[in-house]
Amino acid sequence: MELVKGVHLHFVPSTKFKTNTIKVRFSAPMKSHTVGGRVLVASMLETANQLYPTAQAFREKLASLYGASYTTSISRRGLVHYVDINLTFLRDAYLSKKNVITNEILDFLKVSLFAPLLEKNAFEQATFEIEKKNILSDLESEIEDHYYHAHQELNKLFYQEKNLQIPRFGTVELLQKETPETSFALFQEMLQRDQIDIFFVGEFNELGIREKLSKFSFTARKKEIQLHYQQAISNVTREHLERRSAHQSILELGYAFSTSYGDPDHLSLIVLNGLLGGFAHSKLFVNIREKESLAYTISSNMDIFTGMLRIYAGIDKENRMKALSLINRQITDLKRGNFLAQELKQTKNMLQNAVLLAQDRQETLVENSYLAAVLGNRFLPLDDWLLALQKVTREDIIRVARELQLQAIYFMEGK
Amino acid sequence: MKKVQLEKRAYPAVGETLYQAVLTNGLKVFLQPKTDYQETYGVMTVNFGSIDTKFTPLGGQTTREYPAGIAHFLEHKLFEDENGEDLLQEFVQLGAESNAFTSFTKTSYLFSGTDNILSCIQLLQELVYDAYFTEDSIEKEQGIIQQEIEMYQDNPDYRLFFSVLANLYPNTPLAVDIAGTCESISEITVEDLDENFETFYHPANITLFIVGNIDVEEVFKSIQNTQANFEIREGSLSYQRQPLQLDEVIPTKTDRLEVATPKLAVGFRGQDPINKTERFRYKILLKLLFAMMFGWTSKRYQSLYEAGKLDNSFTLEVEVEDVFHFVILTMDTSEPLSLSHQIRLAVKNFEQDPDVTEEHLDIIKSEMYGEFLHGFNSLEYMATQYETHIEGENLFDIPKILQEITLSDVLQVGRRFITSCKAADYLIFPK
Repeated sequence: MELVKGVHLHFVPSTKFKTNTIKVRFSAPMKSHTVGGRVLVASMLETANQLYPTAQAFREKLASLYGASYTTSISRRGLVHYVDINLTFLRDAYLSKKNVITNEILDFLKVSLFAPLLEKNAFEQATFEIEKKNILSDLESEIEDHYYHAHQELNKLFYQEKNLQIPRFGTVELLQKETPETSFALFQEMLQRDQIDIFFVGEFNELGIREKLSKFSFTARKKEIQLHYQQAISNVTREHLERRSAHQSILELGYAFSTSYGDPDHLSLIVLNGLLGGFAHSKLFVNIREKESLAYTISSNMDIFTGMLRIYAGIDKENRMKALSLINRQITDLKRGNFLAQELKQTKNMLQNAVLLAQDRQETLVENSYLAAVLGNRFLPLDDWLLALQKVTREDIIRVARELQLQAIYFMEGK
Repeated sequence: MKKVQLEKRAYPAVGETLYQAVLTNGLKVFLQPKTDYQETYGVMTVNFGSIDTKFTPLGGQTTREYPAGIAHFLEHKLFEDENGEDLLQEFVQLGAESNAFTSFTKTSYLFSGTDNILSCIQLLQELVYDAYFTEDSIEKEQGIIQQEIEMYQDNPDYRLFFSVLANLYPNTPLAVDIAGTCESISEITVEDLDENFETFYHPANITLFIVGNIDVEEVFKSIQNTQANFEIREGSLSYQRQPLQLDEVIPTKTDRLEVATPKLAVGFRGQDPINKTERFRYKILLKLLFAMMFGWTSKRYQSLYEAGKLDNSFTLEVEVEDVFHFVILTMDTSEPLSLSHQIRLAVKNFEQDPDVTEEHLDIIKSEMYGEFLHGFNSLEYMATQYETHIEGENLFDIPKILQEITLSDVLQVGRRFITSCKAADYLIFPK
């Protein structure tokens, strides 16, 4: 359902949950000159606004709406950067007063979008500076999260595209450039130019919502959303070693593949990742953690939108070469078809389980309705997805395994 | 086995129904149907945690002391069957996920699945009742657990919390990591594991909670059939913990780590006795009091936030267990010393606190109600937050409890806790 061009409404009726959820998603290309501003906008929106001008007043209002929550989140999918506003509140069934909370929540949303905390033509300076300082200190304390740090470092090594090397939360340098004026101007641009998707999961009166949102005076916009990224395979494996004072060392490897979302091999790749490092029966876990006691953490994941399969392991520093060679052997085994029919079957069962479990979460319902809208028939509905999963064969796995090319190795050497 | 009836309890205010029974062998069973969910989540909880290192083993005459981390070690070992195979893999074959975790007073084993549920439930019960230990397998496990301990040591927030706890409870098992230390786990023997297993892993000391897409009667019958194989052991009862020895708290300590902003933890060790049946409500009351004084909706938080002394890293942890209870506040702050002082002073003068008012309590109660209900979206949340080892009020009584609570109830618990509690802090500075 399109409210105006570029502003879409998505309704997912459900009475399964205690809460209703509304998500407002702003989508725009990931760019180094906008990421800092977008992070600050997200932060300002969830702190205060003209009607509830302090963090205390803001939280008090939400608390009195039976612990409703208004949070913002930042994420990335492929080449696109998202700023999401997430509103969650109790369904009428659990409230003594009926038919009022959704309206109050939408009023709250409207104020936050169209009456943010301002001073002249900029965000209010005092609050802005506090939020900026807090975000900067969060970014600086990134050093405390070794895995997050290692992931970012591998991204820098792996991606040739500059915009994919930037963390979704930006960097200290990018945030420092922002002022109350620049961030507010960027917010106005988001409101006018970003693709906007608004999701409603739960019990809603669609007509009433549409009517109410039409008063939000969104204007038509046109923004092409380009999710997929594909880079040329390099013949050189890029390596980087860094020393830090941590108890543990972290080894990360990035492999490239060319399959993209909705391709015939998409499901094969998902199964391959599960077989390799997604589960407790996976090759990496069994052979490196269980058999060799070499790592407590070892796992793999893949990003279908950017063509990267990542393997990461927490190890002792002297085991680096041994771990590398064992990881390499697991990949070779997949390429040669050295895995049991039983393992393949188990992986499919676990993937099916995970996908069904995800249906019990409101976030999954939101993301599925988003992907269905954005990707059209490249997105498989649940039943089709489960069928396609069962059809993946041993040959499929061997074929996609041979597609994998090691492109980057990062090692964080601990004490 | 005698015929045991399931007792049905309806909680219309939260839209949940819970069935429970105590089997003849002593196992407590809780079943909660959620038929619009795909998932079924099951958890078996043993009344045995990291603080249980000193006791008289079953059949023994004298009290023995065991190496720290033994409950957690046992948790790892139970996933191994008689052939050294990993039981996680058996859950995988059933298409289910499985895991386990150890806390101060509990060890929990769980699965989450969408298919083969009866087999999963059976496997979960067998997992907890069978144990096989060999010298070799113990040695291998030591390697894995050492990695785990080191991984947690690299997390400053984890260090902060456990260090202030160590200050509050010196010379007790609470002063040691739940997983133990690299030294302590290297001392664990086959005999130690056998004695601990025999003492704690029997039906009367265990509870089973299943929530999800289940047919209650069918599941109950299946559990009874499986449990018929695990009859009550001679002399085995639900474990009764001895009080912790409360030495003087260590008032303060500091450390230097690779952090961007200093970190502060302030802890309060409760010393007032708490009746078994009031434990759940006591915890709610204490949480309400501290949330009023230090939460986001307090004037105190707002002024600290405006002054740039506090960001959103602030956490409040209230633990109320049978032999200990504490409150711990943690935060990143540029002024840890002055903040620690302010917090202790505020707690001491809580009765005059400008944030402790009827109006503020109403807001915090409304917020807490929403947060609990929000949690009920998750089967895992309900299965792990329901206190299966206590009597009296429990998780689904939340609406009633919150409705009944008045400011004078909060103040009364505040007086009980605060007049006798001991405070300590722990500070981490950047290197």
